[in-house]
Amino acid sequence: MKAQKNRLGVLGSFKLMGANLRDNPERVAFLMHRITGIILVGFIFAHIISTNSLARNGWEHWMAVEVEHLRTLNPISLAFFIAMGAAVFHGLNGIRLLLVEALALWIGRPEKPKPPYVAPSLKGFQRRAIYAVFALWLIIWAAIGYVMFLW
Amino acid sequence: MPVDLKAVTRRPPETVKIWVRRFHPEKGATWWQSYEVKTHRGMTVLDALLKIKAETDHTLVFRYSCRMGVCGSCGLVVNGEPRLSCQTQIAEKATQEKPEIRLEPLYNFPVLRDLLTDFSEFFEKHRKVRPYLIRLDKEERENPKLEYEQRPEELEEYYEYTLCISCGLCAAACPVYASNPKFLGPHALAQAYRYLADSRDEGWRLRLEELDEDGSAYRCHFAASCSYVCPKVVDPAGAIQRLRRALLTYKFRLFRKRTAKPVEPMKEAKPTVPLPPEAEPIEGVDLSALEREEALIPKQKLLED
Amino acid sequence: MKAGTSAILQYLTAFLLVFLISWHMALRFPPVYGVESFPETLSPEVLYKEISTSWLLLSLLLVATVLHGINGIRTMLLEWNASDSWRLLVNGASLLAAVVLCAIGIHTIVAVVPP
Ligand code: SF4
Ligand code: FES
Repeated sequence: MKAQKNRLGVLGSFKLMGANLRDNPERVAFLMHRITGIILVGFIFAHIISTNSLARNGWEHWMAVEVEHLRTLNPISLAFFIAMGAAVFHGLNGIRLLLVEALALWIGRPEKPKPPYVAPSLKGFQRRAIYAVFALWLIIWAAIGYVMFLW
Repeated sequence: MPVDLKAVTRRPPETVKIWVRRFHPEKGATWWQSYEVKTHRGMTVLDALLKIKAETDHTLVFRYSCRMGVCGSCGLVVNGEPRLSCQTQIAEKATQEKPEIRLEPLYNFPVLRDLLTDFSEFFEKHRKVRPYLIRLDKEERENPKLEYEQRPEELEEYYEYTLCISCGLCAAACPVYASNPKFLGPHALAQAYRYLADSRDEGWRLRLEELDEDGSAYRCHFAASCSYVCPKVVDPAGAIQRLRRALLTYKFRLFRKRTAKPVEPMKEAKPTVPLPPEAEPIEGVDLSALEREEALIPKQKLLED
Repeated sequence: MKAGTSAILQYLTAFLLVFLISWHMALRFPPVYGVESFPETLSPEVLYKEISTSWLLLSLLLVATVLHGINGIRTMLLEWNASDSWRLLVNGASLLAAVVLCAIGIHTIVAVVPP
């Protein structure tokens, strides 16, 4: 008789388990933190290598090729814009995570359960901070889009 | 767990189709099977399963014991969300438009058969965090004679975590437990913190040394799904953040903890509290005579048993 | 690396990066240099001045970003598979990637010439 393996594996991160923005936005934020982190590592690779053309190919090439891409709306500038959004979200959510994870702040105090039976860490200030993170993220991202493409 | 408290007052759809993800170990086959169940008001998912087992298909395997959210053995995944089946109303999950419920065995636990899962790894991890009080005084640990003193606010520090019924819903919901077999899991880490925070426990040095490893609190990323699905509001997510803070402060040699001593034995009988002067005895009752009266059960008898 | 050390590294670099990246991104805001548009802030004069004055901050930013990013990806990859060979592979690849990226970045800062 053999038991069936039932571990969800990495895909488990992408299942929301009934989580939604109202009841468990932490999970949504966790997922987005992961995704933006992966996007950012890709961006950092590209960014470090592309800025290195400054040293390899000189200023003319820099102005003509690298900066030229950012002047108009095209796949490269769009990817840059998306990476900026990822960076802003990762940073804002990261501030919250630093306080919650490293210092255990904003997660309420342990208490005796009482109706409506919501865990203290889900009622703590960090919950309001998540909504603030989402709101600020959209605002800052929009501002970056304005500066990049419309200024 | 965000239970819809009103659901029990609602009438569920007349008949509900229950889809069960089944597994047969000898054949090694997995398949989805559906059952039609006639419902009644207040029917839980466990009631429905019992009805199926009694009336339609006696080969269906699942585990339960108390039917009232105390034993923690009936965890299932209901519509993609880990729940206690005895605490989930049919009316909460099935609507008139879509009278269907999907049941799966708990995620991240090996499936033995149908909805029955194997908890040995889960309990092994629980055992690993030393879920018991550690006292440095060996004699007192083996043969305790007295109780420990503890203030109400010290009890409050960990009381919440003692409510855990080891149902495994948190482990089924955790994205890290899903991918990392070494991760101890929300339940074990919450219990680790419960004993670390207990003022009667003196083993904090041992605990923190042992927990400074790969599968411990550092792997948690505060998705907080454990606290969200926990039927007993144990708040494992909060416990893990506090445990991590303890681990980090311990690493920088800043961790401090006040531990309780056993209470001193009473030297002599304390004087009885006199009645306040404004207290009036009931008419016809002689208080001083009552005090002198022999107790109904002699004290000696109590000590003998 | 012990799990605790890696976590502390991650938190410390995260703390640094919050400030450094805000600074790095704010410098691309046109009014900072009094120029017309965002791509103008990348012109040779502006950039050269920036690199030659704040090379220390830039290299700190580079190292912190690379460490934070690579260490983050490394923990995610280690979660994927628990075998020892995978662990060795991931750790080696992370170290290599970190060193190469830092080297490329430092080369950019050091080898840049006045326009
Ligand atoms: S912490 Fe909650 S969800 Fe996890 S095993 Fe204990 S009671 Fe169940
Ligand atoms: S049967 Fe005991 S908790 Fe559900």
